[in-house]
Amino acid sequence: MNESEFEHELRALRPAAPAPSLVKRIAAELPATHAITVAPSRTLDHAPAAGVVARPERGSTLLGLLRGLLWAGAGAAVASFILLNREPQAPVPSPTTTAPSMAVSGTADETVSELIDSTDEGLIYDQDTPQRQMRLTYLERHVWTNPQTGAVIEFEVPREDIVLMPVAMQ
Amino acid sequence: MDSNHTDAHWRTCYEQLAPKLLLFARQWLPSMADAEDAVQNAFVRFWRHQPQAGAEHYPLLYAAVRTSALDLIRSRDRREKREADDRVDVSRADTPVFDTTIDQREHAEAVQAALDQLPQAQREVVVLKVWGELTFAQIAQALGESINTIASRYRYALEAMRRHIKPHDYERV
Repeated sequence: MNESEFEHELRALRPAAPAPSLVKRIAAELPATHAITVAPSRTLDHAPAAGVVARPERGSTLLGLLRGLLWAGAGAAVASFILLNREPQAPVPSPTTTAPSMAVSGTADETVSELIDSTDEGLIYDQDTPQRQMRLTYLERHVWTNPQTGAVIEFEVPREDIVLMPVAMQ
Repeated sequence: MDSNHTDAHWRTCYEQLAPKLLLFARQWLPSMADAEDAVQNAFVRFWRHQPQAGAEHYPLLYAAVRTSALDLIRSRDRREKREADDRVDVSRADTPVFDTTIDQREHAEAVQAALDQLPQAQREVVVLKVWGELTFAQIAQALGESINTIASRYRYALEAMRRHIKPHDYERV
């Protein structure tokens, strides 16, 4: 007997059929799925004719994009204003809260500068004087509140300072 | 897609595959009731995710049955440990794995015994190839193995089954 004859003998046996109740149990569970599949077309105010694909309204996408651009522009303007008017700050070793340093036409300002990373980049020599170069990374968090409208503008700006610290040679 | 159309889809699939899926599930779950539960879970899960599935997706259905059967075993084991209950071993004999005529009954029992003595990895390949009628490539897809591995397992399994069922063929050699 070769392998194909043996396979043929095995295939002659038919797997037992499941109980008739199994298909009913499956049918009872599957319609819920189909309802989910067809639900979007039922929610439309005007039911589309057969074969017509309902397109999402273009206006809502444009409006969303415009709104996003406006918010991004406003954030960028505020960030530019603060960065241009910011006084040079000494490195802050730990999170601190500074008092409001600016007041822009009725808005209160709070700035938190948080040191999130510091890297020792080794010794460098400036005019034969050894100095340790430190790279300090901060995250500045600005919160502006308009007391008249209650609107709050909050944004974060990363900042990186390179600090040279004198090293005393003994 | 029209729900009646989808309904016809899964029913056609069920008519074609239900006995094969059940046999596959019973390689892990000897109890007919447990195997039916596994097939039901897998079938529903599969058609929920693939309402437009075609014949090319059917190997994934076998993979879903396998996962469902293993999940059922794990949950049953957990329950049994929790309840510290005596494990009730449901024999295959009470519900035959194959539909047989009287003439075939003895042969069917021998085949089932030969299947039982195979390692799990070989047994599932034989069931999928012989009774599931899948190609080696489809079995490889369903089980996540290479085609060469599947072909080797099949060859070894068939040889072992033949030795078990027809020992006299080898005694003569």
